[in-house]
Amino acid sequence: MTTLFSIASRELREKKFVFGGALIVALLPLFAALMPASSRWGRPAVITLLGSILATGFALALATVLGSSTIGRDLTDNRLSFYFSKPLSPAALWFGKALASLITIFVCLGITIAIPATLAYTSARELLPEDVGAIVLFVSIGAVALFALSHTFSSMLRSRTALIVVDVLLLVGTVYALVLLLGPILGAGAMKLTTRIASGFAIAFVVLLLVAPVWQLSRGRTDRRRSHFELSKFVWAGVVALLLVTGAVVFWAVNVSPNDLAQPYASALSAGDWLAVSGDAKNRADLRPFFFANRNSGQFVRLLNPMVVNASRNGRFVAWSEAELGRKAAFSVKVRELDGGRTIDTGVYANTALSVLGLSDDGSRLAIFNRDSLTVHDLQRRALLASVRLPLGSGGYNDHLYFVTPDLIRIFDLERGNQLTVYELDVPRRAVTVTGKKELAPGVHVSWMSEDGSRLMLSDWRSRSGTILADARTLQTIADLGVIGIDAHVLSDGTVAAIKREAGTPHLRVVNLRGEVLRDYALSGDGAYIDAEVAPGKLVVAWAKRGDKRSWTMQTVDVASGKTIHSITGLHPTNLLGFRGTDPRMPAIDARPRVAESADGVFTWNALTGEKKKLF
Amino acid sequence: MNADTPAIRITDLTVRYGRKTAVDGASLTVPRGSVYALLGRNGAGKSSLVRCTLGQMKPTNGRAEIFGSDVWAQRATLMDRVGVVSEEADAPPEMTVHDIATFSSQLYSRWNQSDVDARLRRFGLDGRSRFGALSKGQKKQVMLAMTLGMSPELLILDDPTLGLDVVAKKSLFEEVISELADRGITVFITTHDLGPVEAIADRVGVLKDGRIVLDEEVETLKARFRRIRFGTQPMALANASLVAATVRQWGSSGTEAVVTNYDDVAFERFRSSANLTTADVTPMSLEEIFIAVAGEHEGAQS
Repeated sequence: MTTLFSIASRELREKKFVFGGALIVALLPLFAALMPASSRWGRPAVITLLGSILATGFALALATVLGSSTIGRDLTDNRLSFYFSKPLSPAALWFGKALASLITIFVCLGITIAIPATLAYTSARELLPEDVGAIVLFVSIGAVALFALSHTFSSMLRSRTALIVVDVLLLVGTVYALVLLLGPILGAGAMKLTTRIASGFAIAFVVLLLVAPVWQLSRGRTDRRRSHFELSKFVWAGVVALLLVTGAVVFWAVNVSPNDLAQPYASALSAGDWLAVSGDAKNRADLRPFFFANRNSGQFVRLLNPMVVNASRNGRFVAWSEAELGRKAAFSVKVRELDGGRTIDTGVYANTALSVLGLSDDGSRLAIFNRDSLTVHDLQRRALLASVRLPLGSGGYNDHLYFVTPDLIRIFDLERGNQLTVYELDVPRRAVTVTGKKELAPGVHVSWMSEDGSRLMLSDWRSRSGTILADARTLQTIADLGVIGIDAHVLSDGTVAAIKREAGTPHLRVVNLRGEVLRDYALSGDGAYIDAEVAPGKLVVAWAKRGDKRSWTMQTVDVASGKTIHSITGLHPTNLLGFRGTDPRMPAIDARPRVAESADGVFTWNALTGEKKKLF
Repeated sequence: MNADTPAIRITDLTVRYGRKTAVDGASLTVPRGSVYALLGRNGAGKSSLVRCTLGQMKPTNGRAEIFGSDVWAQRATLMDRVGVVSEEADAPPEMTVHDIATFSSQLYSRWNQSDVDARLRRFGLDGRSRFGALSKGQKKQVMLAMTLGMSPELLILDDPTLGLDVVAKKSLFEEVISELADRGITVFITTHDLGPVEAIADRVGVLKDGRIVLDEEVETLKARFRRIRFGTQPMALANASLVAATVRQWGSSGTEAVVTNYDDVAFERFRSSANLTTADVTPMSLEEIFIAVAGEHEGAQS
């Protein structure tokens, strides 16, 4: 340690003239401010801005110069023998010299910042950002990195050997390997995680470069060529180790399971045992993976960055679009059969994020509604069956489509939020027909559609406009139910259930198709909604008190008697943001245990038996 | 550590730079308390051998030891006991003489500042002078003064007279090295200045084309080398079992040979077998021996 400080103090004495240089640089803004032209911007502002630029530039330039000369100049001038003929270790030699250089850089940075900042204190406070300390820290780290890089490149160049070609090739290879390694998380859109891993690699790389000269001097000593060889050997071996660690971290990060989600969100597919699950992954910054998970077997399919996801109505097939890095198009569409299938690249690419996907029940056909165009693909033959333009189509987030038959597609296009248009595409004829059109009052949406796709319910989420049961193809009114409440569902017996709020309390109201109230049961809490009919006449509703998440309660109500069959507090039906079936048809009876969530995770709750089971 | 352990032991040391072999399997031993002079022409491999001996360069093959320790592995520890004056004065040019002394004093465990000051005064050097501003000879003197200040047990001098004037050279050999030798300090010196070396060296080694072609006590060496001039064909030498390092002929029968295994009995046998009436025998200086051994003439025959 003593020798280290001896070397450092010797080097500092040698470099003390640099402090004079820093003083001149620090005063330059003052001289610039004295020039007549500077009065246009205000002298304090000139001092502040020019001082900031010069301080940064001087520190970085000094780091580069000192890095390239600290050992490199002694090596080329054959003066390293001066140190190696003395009882001092390579570590003391390098760290002593490096310490002196870094002190020089930081003191100069301090001088070049402090003087202009003092001269124009008020202006500096106004013009410089609040986190100026973070900027100075960033510049300091940059200076250290430049110092280390500069030493490395200088040692390599000064050796004048062909090994430099190998170094360049390895550098290119390293950058390529790093891009490949970060590709999966970059493709997953996890910019924070990518930045963290890349920053970790960069910091470790700089540390490696700061330590490497000890090996370089220890093994290469005064021999310029051997010095380069040993430095390269250490650096590239270290880089390989860093790449392996980075690869391991990326592997760990992307091999995430539903159980690794900090707060999982899930939605059951419209049929079958599979769920769509997503949420922020633990300890993985902003990585938000998406899963299809089987509620019984625990199997899951992981998608790192799906843009649009949809499943066939029978829950057997799923389709999604995902970003493609460095490929011919920005997005591609993949399809998978969930039970035992493998992911198939459909060969369908797009340069814009796709909006709506639809899959036929046999998974053989894929429909894409994007902007104003609708394309239909035969996935087995990888053939485009139809590509048509919809006259008023928007292909937006609120649109729906489904295969009525493999040759007939129905599209619900909500234009400007209130113009609902129904199209039908006859695939063999490639003919588009507008089968229905309706102007919707504000807040009116499709709250229910029959399992066969023949009828739909239009209701107002604000409960101001009336609820209408309409023909799903023509949008002709079948029954105008009046203002019966929100979330209207047609039950298996043909009556309609809705939630109506009265005197601050939600009520489950059952009406006939004339809108006549048949039953009315007061629920608890401040708000409620209908989840599903799980058996004939057995309806699951969920309610909660305003502002109290823990008050969420799911209860199975016998519609005929109004009695609660089962209830559970602390759970509410799941609502996975970003996942929605574009196929709006709902099963008449959904006897599957309800997928529900709480702060503790995702559960299934059997609304007929009251059994609760944790999934994730 | 055993007191019989040599100060330096070099074993089968080879240094290669790519395809070029600078030192080729060199082995030598420098006993403690001796003065060893390693001689060789420019490019013979002296500097490479010295750098390996100082642990500044890793040999391609072989090993160099100082005081019984591998110098490559133990360099930092060993250098506390070894004083070095390099061929090129290698101190940073920005340092003053005083700075160099201060810096060195912090590194060595047995630093003697008064010795350094006295030596600098004798050399007439100003402590405030920048090292880079000194002449070649003055730089060498500074380095020598510093080296002596650390009270070495072994002094390694790589061509120390390069750049020194005649007075300084005389001072170096007659005062410094002789004094150190008298104090029992081992001296390993490479030089072109053979005259003064002859007076102080106990042993010499000659490096030629990277190989040690001679490694011997000076007295023994001088005893077995003779220049013989005679008036017959050189084959006569072989008949008398005298080995010639170099042979030169002039006219039809004039021959001058440098004999490497001279002794009086063999010479008499040679003179009588060749029926020579006149044959001059002259002793040789170290310089002459060096030229005969390491010079360009390759006409050795036996």
